[in-house]
Amino acid sequence: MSLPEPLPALEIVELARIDGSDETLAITPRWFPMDRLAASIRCMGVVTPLHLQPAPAGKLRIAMGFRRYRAAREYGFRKVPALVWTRASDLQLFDCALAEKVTGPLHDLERARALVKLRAQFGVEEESLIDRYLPLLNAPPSRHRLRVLLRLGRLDEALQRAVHRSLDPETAFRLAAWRVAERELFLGLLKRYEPGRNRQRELFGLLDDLRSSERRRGSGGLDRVWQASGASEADEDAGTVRPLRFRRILDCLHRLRRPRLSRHQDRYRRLKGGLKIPPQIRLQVPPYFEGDQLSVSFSCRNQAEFRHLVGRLEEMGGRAELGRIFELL
Amino acid sequence: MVAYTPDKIYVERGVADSWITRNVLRRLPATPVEWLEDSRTLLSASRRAGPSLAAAKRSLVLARHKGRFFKDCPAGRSRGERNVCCNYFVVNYASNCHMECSYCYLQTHLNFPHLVVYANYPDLLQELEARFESHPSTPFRVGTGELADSLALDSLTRYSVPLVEFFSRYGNAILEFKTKSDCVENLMGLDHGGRTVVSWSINPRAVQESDEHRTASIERRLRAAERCVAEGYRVGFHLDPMIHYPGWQGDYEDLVDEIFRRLPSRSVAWISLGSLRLSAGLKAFMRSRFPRSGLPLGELVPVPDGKLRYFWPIRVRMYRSAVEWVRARSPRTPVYLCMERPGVWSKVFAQAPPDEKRLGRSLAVTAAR
Repeated sequence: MSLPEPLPALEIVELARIDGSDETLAITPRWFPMDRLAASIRCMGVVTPLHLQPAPAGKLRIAMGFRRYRAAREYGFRKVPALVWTRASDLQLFDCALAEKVTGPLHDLERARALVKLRAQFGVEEESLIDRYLPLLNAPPSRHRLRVLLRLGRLDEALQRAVHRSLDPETAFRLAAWRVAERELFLGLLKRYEPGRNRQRELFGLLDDLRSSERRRGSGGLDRVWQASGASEADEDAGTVRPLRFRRILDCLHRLRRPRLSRHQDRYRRLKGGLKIPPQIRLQVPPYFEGDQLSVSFSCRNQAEFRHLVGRLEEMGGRAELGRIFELL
Repeated sequence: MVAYTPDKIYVERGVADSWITRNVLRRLPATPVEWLEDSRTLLSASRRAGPSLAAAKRSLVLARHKGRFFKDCPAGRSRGERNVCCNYFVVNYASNCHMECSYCYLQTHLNFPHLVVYANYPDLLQELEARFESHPSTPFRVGTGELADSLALDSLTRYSVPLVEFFSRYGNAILEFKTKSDCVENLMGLDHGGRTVVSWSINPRAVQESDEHRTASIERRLRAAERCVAEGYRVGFHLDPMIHYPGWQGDYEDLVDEIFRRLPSRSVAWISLGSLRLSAGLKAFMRSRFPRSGLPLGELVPVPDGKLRYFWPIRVRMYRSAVEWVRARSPRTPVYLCMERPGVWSKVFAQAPPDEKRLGRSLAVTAAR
């Protein structure tokens, strides 16, 4: 990773001479936020020199410092400090850029982009990516990890942006197989409701299963699922607060995905309602009705309340609804 | 079944002289062989290289089994509140399978992706001998089909031969080969003494064609069963995993009907029923490996043993129907459920689940009848 030339002298270079559109050696995607860097440059100017290389027509191209360059331009600076490398190869400079990058926090998308470039642009063999570059990028040296990162690096920008916001990469890989309009629907939901990873996976799992079922039947795709489940209506219900709307969307999709279970749950709710259970008594069926026991618990403040609740339990014990609840297990 | 021909054979030096090793090498003279001190070195290499499952299974490893061969069936681990166990034992003579059933749990269960056959079978027999002789009044039902298909590699290894002959000497043990293959050639002409049951995991043709890739067709499995019956073996069938799909009733009833039309009911030792069960990880794996399979799209819910299964009313309906179909054709053939909770047993059979030891004993006794 050493360079074939001594460190060049520090120069002050006109921004106009730099071709910022050449991103051959860029590691960080252009759209990554750079608020803190921009604020610092706005205040202090560019303090850390850019690393540049001669390019055709007397221009210079960037090896390191793409974001510094963009911030400098944005805030109207005309000159920046720079080191201009004349003999180092692209790969040597890229290696140096990586070595510099890993001194700070590195996002998986940056690792992924670096690996995709090393493989595609510089023709680095997979073995070398595993043995040399994954450790350099603070990643475990395994083929599995390499495959995941290469896959991440090959996702389109919309999905990468979603991963950068909060999308689970595994979900992103599967989402990549969806049609563009279907993807947009899902990503729009993530933007609107900002669910955590578990809820995200739940939502994706439901939509993916329902979409696949529709496609197997040859009766349309996600749009039909969205409309037929009632999720579309729930999504548009502006009168309901966002978390509840999201809950309703999931409920609608669950109903479509597991119709028998939903009917079972409805029946349980009706029967339980019919028992008119006081709030101190809690009746609980096993999750998904998969179990042989109904759980009953109650709490009370004194002996009189205890006797009252026991009386209510005894009364419940004779009700037909309770017998039917047991049949649901 | 699509016959297995590995691209490469790895042999541990410790089993170089094993009869199993010699059988394999004799049958695959053109396949490259690499000798190893310890096959565990392949594990770290495969972790690093991360070959696809299909690619890894192209290598056959002949190794020495370092642990115990004989174990309780894993279903027993979740017995009691979760599942009723049928008191079954397993012998892991091999691990992994070259066939490609979309729902196979081995895909995410094994941490070693190669196909391994444990060639030190004398150790296996010694272990069984010690067990059977120290518990002479305990009836043992022992299967070899937990981590591998019992017979799919038999044309290469001939593993079945010493096993069948060994079990024929024990009045308190029954050997069960469980397979989706039609590799029964080596069983012909053996002195089995009625102590071996050859059984098939079986599903309607539609399921076999869509989700049991590289396995023997249902026709070939039934033909193999007929051959075994003609040799005096008793046979078993595992309708497992039963799959719920439009038209399942007709297809499964036809299948049960065909079994009892083609085979005398007295030759059927047992029929077990089980339904599709997937871990969450396996479901995701299936979706990526077998994207055309509709199996993960069934109405599956998480159950207390950690797996996804059909919502219980679906399972009960499938099992009850299958029990009726079997009983209508062969009232005395034992039918039991595999890996099901007591509540489901009660609903299917309209009586409390049997005592586990008695269940195991009665299956062993019926098989030996």
